This record gives sequence, structure tokens and C-alpha cells, in this order.
Amino acid sequence: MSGTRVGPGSASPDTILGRALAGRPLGVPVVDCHGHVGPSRGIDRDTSVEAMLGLMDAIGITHSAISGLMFATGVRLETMNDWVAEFVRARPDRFLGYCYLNPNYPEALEAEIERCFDELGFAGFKLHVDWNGYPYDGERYRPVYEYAAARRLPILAHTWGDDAVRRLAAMARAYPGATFLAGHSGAGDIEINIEEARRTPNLVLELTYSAGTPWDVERFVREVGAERVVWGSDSILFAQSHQVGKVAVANLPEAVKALILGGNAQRIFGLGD
Amino acid sequence: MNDEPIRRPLDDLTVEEQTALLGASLEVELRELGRAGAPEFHEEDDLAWVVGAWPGATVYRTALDAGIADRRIAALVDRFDREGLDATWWAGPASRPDDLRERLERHGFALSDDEAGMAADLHALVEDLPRPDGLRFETFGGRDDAIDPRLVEAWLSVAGAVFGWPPERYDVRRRLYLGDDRRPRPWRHLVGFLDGRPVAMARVLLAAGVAMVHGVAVLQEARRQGIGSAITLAALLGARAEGYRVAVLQASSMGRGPYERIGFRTVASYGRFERPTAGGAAQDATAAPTTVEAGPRPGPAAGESAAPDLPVLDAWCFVGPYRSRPPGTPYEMDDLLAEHERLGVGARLCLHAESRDGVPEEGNAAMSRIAVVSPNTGVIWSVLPPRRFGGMAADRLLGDAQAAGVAMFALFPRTHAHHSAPWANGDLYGAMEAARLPLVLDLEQTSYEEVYAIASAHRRLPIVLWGAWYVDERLLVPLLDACPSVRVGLAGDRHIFNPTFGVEQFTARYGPSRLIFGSGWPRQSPGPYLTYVRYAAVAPHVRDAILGDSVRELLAGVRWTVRGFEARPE
Repeated sequence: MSGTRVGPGSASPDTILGRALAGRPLGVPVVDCHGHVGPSRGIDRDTSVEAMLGLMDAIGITHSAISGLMFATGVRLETMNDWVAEFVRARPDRFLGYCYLNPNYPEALEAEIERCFDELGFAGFKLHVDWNGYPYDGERYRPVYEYAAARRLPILAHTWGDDAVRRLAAMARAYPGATFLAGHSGAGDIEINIEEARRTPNLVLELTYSAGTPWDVERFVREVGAERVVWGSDSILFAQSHQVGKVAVANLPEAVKALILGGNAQRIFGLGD
Repeated sequence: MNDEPIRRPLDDLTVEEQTALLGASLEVELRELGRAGAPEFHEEDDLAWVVGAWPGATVYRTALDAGIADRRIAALVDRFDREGLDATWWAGPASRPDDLRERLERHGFALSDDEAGMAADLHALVEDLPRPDGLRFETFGGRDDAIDPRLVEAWLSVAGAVFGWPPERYDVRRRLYLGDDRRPRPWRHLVGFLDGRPVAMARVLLAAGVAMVHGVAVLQEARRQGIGSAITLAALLGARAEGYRVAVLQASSMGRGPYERIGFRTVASYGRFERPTAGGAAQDATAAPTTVEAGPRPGPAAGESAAPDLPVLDAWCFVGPYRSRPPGTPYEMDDLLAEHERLGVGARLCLHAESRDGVPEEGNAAMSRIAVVSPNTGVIWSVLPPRRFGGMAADRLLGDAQAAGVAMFALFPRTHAHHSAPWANGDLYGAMEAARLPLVLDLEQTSYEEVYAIASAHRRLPIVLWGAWYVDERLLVPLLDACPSVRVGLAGDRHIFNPTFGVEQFTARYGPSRLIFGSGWPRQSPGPYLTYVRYAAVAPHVRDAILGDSVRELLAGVRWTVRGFEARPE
């Protein structure tokens, strides 16, 4: 016998595990730190506000932090942020907007940042190195980091346990006022995520990864602490109902699961202040 | 009514032709039941429905233009409500518009069941199925000049007990059968007697050139002995003796097993949507047309679909040391059993990781040894193709698998460096097809094109396909449309199937039987897949199908008893 799986009988109906296995709302504040809205390549499904709220209500997700879909080729970044704004306008109590920026258009950054935060009421930034092909430690991103640090905003950045994590972590250490969420922690080389998170207090591991396992979550908690891990789904690509499972069934105390599912994100996004 | 029998092999009929026959089967049954009284048939270009064949109204053909579909549905619903009619609306593969199911739900209909439209070639039946001693069959109808009233009473005693008919319905049916002066009558009824006592019934309609099977039922206390399969087979043999080559039927979503064992294969899914009337003059036994037959639904498994409470089944697990294990993570059978128990999973199909990562034969032998001492555990063998130096002949491989009670064969063509295409493996696939032994593939090891080629060349070979990516839906839909034998597993080696609304969208289009829960343990946990299904906005029977019932049906169709799943559904 290998591993440290717990035995039967742990799924009491009123626990997060018991609720998840019964398909009931989880009963604790749940914040999806990594969601998407709008059309995308390869996806033909209902992406309306109502449809998303139906999913969120079934699971008990109180807030979703959303950005446009990077897979939507050929769209202007303003269009992607407009899709997000539509959701935030419709239900500001449930959706948090990420401002997506493309550093390949540096001349447009300042105006779009002002629009996202002054007009649209967004809550953080979304960056995607693979889509833009521009590294996180490049000069063009500096205005973003300075803006976020000055206002203590979160930055969700796509990473894949690789060089991108190292570059992002370096920026996190340079801008301690902002919180950097390393998207897709657990994909790629998990050791890099752990190593960088240990030496970077404002780097938080975000769990979106289709094949992520409960034991990845358990290891992150063990190695970097429960306060440094947040849940995200990558909805509307991956289903929130699938992604929430790896936290719900993990062998972790209820209080730790509650922090990962929502408590930490409430702190990061300033919810409930 | 008795059209010239179709004498072509079933495989020569297109899916569209088979679908048309299934549609005809439903309509013919409605018209036959309607002979008990004076049903109102309404035939329009884009809609056909009847009042008085079954309780309430039944819409059996829909070909609505998308632009006016909602208005037409709303108008008909309004009419049903005004007349106090409960409504049943069938959504089949030929129904239009394509999103009819969603539209019906928006108009207050709820999916009652996704029935399987099935077809069989009467020259390729499996006739040597086990059946209890003391079982014999009597037939009435057809060309008989006179009908023995005692046989009718025996038939009615089974129907009444299974379907809970009130006494007046017996009289309706007596008149319908004994008073039918057509020669030959299009229907033949069979009664199954076990040790002299009537325990089973079946009904065959010979029309549109095919044998249409309806109303197969077995008394509760006589089930799980193969009697349902046996009486259906007897009915089909009778039709074959009269020159018929093709049979069709509709089975409830959980009742396909007996028919698959005989040789039926699923052609298409038929959603049965129901809506109780919102009208004040709701029907009751006296207000409804007195001719209404609350008989069995055309699904021959009606009355047999009450599935017992079966455990969740994880259909894709590996045990034993594996190549890419992250240190500290579990992998042994005891670990799997503990995790399954913790998460409420009660049954599983397993491979030994050695059979994938190393020598298949050694891994298969190890898995069989482990399964013997593990509860509710079936064995999947990883096999190599016969066409190689030293390869084992397909029939010998199948013989060994039968002796071991193997549940499925998995191929890992990329890892084991061989083809998956049918031109190279046709003898293996052909032997598996004859044994109805499912083939398991992961898209990491093959391609959509090759899966299509296999499914097209071996149409009765059940295929379980893992490794579909969340973003593959535009690749999956044409494959599933074209290949009814292909089912999609949720897990995968590299990619997995977890798209938002995936369960809802795919089951709405294909019914509940095309998605299969499996975890790919120990690389992944069963947990996220369980929550994916549990949170899906679908009917409970759809969740049950994904979480195990569909796989049990596949296993029930295997030509031998699968070890770990010896109790077959009736």
C-alpha cells in the first residue's frame, strides 16, 4: 500500500466533500479566480450571463473573476474587455472583471487601463504570455505592474510551470504591492511553481488545470501553505463543476478547503470589506 | 400493411433508412393501438400527432422549420392545455429543427427517457443464449383462423401485472385482439410460460417490410434469468420464418441489454418528452376517450426498466507501478479501493499498468490475479494485434479472454508501435465484433480518422474512446453522429473531456448512453469527474447512465459472462 489516502466514511453530507459528491452548493464562499466569457475557437455553447449564473449557483460560486477568451483570434483587446464589461454591468455582485492587455500594442495600453478601471470598474489584470509572445519581465509590461502595485490589484498571468513562472515571480518580487496569481499551477513542472512561490510572498498559485489532481492541491498546501493557493476553473472552457472537484475531494481540513475555494480570493480581491 | 419483406442485409441499409423504419414502427404501433377505438390522427406537413392511441396526445413526427418552430409548439401546447391533454412528444434523429429537445424543454416538456432505437439482422442473430429449463412459448395472431382465448388471457395477465392495468383495459384489449378480422393480422403475440405459468409477453408487428418488436415484458419475479431475451428471440425467429430479414425496436435507456445480447444494435436515440396538461379539464379515466389504451410504451423494455440501485462504476483505472508516477502518489489496488470507497464508487474496470507500459501479457495476467480478490472489479486486457511476428490468432485471443471473463480489450497503438486502422487489425476487430467485446482506445494513441474507420468497418463493435479534449467538440459531434457504436469516456491519458455544459449538450443530442465515467486513476482522481456529472443539469437517469449503467449494458452485451459483473440486467 502506497500513499496516504484516508479510509471510508469521511464524506459526511455536510462537508464540502459530501456536498460536492451530492451535487449541492458547497456551503462556503467560493470565488472562481480564473474564468472566461465570450466566444472562442472550438466552442459552441451558451455563454450568456444567465447560463453562467446557473452554473455558479448550482455549485455555490459567489463570484467569478473573468476575462475574454484568448483563443478568440483576430479580436481587438477592447472587444475582449467589452465582453467582460457586459457581465460586470449585469451582475456586479457576482462578476469581477480582469483587464486583458496585449503588450504588442504598447501605444494603446495606458488608455485601455484607464478605461478598464475608471469606466468599467474592473478588479485586476489578465496577462497571457503564450498568446502574445511577450515575456512577463519585458519593459512594456512595467506600466501594468506599476499601476497594479500602486492600487494593490491582483494580476492573473497564464503560466505552465515553466520559464514564465520564473519571470513572473521575478516581477512579483519587484512589485510587492501587487498580488501575482500564477495561472495553471500544477501543469508543467510543479517543482518550479513550488520553488518560486516559496521565495516570493506575493506569488499565489492558481489551480486551473484540466488534469490537476487532489494530490497536487495537497502538495501545494503542504509546501507553500494554504493561504497561497486559490481556486480557478478556466470556465467557460473547462467546467467549473469539474475543476472544483480536485479541491472538494482533497484530503485537507475543511478550513483549508474554504481558504482555497474562496477565503484567499476574498482577501485578494477585497471582497466583503 | 404487410409490405413485402426487406430481404437485404441490415448493413446494406443506410442509417437514414433504418431511422425511417424506426419512425414507421412508432407510427404503426400507434395506429394499431388506436384500432381499439376512434383515435384522432392529425397529419400535417411538418407535424403529426394523435389523440386517443395512448393516454393524452402523442406527437410522433416533427419536421418544423426553425423559424416558426417555437410558435408551432406553443400553439399545440396551448391546444393540449385547452383540451386537458397530457402530452408525449418524441424527438428522434429525423426530428427537425435540430434543437427540438431544447425547444420542448423551454415549452414545459421534460425528458422522461432517452430510448434507444435499435435494429437487428435476423440472419445474424445470437441464438444460443442461456434460458431457463421449463420455458416455452405460444403465439397467437397472424394468419390464425381462430385465437385461443386462453392465450389472450395469459398475455393479458402478464401485461396487466407488469403495467398495472385497470380491469376495463383488459376488456379493451380482448376486443381488439379477438375481434380483429384481418387476415393475416399484422401482429403476432407471444406468451412465455415458465413451468406452465405465464411470465412473459412480446408483440411483433410485420409492416413496412420489417419486424417491429413492441411490448416485451417479464413478471418481476421471473426477471434476471434471460427470459426477456429468449421471448424476443422467439418472436424474431418467427418473423424470420415468414421471410423477414430486418427487425427494429425501441428500448428504454436502461433496457437495451437483452436486445444487444440477441444482436440488436443502437441506431439512434429517441427522446420521450412529457408534459402534464396545465388545463383545468385534466384527463381522468372517465373524461378521457374511452378507447384510450394505457398499454405499454412501444419500448419493449417497458416494465423492465426499473433498474436496481447499482453502484457507481469507474470504467478506466490502472493499478500497479507505472512509468511516470509522481513520487508519493498512490497506485496499488488497495489505494484504489480505498479512494473509491471514500468517494462512493462501488465498481470498476481495471488494467494493470504493466500491460500498457511494459509487457501486455504479464500485465493482463497480473490484473486477473488481482481482480479475483477485489470486489466488483472487471478486467480490461491490453492486447497486441495478431498480425505481427509471433502474434496470437484472434480466435485464440478471444478464447483466452472468454476463459478469463475479460470485460474489454484496450489497444495502445502508439506505445506498442502498431496500427489501429481496420485494414491492419480487421481480424481482431471482427472477432471482437462477433463477441460484442468493447474496444477501448485513447485518442493519445490513435486519431479521429482511424476511430471512424474502425467504427465504419465494424459497425457492431462497441468502442469506448478516452482522451477527447474539451475543445474537441467540433471533432466529436460528426464522429458521434456517424458512428452510433462510439462512446466517449471522460478521462484520458493526455487530454480529458470536461467542457462547460458538456454533459448537458452531449446527452441532449445523443441520449444518456454515449458518455462514460472513468477516472484514468492513478494519474487522475475520480473526484473531479464525479462532481462534473453530479452537478450537471440533467435528469437523474442520465447521471446514472454516465456513472455506470451504460457500461453495465455494454458488459451485458458481451457474449460471455464478464468476471466481476456476473449479475446481468434483464
